[in-house]
Amino acid sequence: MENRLKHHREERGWSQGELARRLGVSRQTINAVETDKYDPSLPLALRMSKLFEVSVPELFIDHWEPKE
Amino acid sequence: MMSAAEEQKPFLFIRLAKWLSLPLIVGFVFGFLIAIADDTLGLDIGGVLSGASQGAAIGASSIVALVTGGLLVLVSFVVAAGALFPGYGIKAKMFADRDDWEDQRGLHLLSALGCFGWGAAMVLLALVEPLGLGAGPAVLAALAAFVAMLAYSCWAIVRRLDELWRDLNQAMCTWAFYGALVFGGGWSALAHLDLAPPLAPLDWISLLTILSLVGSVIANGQRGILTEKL
Repeated sequence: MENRLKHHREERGWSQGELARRLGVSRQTINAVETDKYDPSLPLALRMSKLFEVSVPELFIDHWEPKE
Repeated sequence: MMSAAEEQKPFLFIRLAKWLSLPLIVGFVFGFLIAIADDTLGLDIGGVLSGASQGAAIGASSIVALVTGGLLVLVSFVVAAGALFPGYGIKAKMFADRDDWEDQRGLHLLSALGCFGWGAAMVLLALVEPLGLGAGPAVLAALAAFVAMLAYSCWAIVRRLDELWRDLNQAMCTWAFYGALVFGGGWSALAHLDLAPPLAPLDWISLLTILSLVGSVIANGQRGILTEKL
């Protein structure tokens, strides 16, 4: 799943470590999410959206469309 | 002017030498330690290998456990070295950079402790029968100490895991469980039908350990974590 986490993090001038500290996860988790190796849990995605003041779909882009 | 193949020769030689250097050093160190143990402690390892010692000849179960345990002990030294020396840890791609090393070295040290404890326990279990040591107080005390290392390591690591590592851990356990069901269960089914010898307790320990390692590699590989440093 694509995401704009890196974009929002860099916009605020935070390092991966700084973002990890603010979210209460490891730096590896942030790195894995940014490089599309790991999709975060719903609670973590909600915390990210709160922190960056954007909606979850703005942060995580899913190209799935419901079938007619 | 040298051809491309000729220019590559020294490079290939250096690469080959680098690849062989670690196994050679490890082989030398282990050989040296075994020779000392043989001489000073009278363990008669040569006799064990040839089946002429006071204990039983070393069987396939013991050899598999010995190799698996030895591998874990070796890995524990490598991981501990990476956790203690940032230059080596970063070069060996255990850590992305010095900040990563600062963050993760505690976890790596705990991991090395658990790896060493379980590996040493397996080596001890593998050698108890061939060396004729028996289940004496010294063996039981050493075994308890090794298992305590593993138990403490597991307890401390689980407390530090965040959701990414918990997810990886779950995937690793799933692979190991189904692997045990297929290989251990399949073998036991054959043994039940008298088509194969039953797995010994030591075989089960080796099987579960190997499957955990395989599960860990698969779980990390599926997420592309092995292909690039984090």
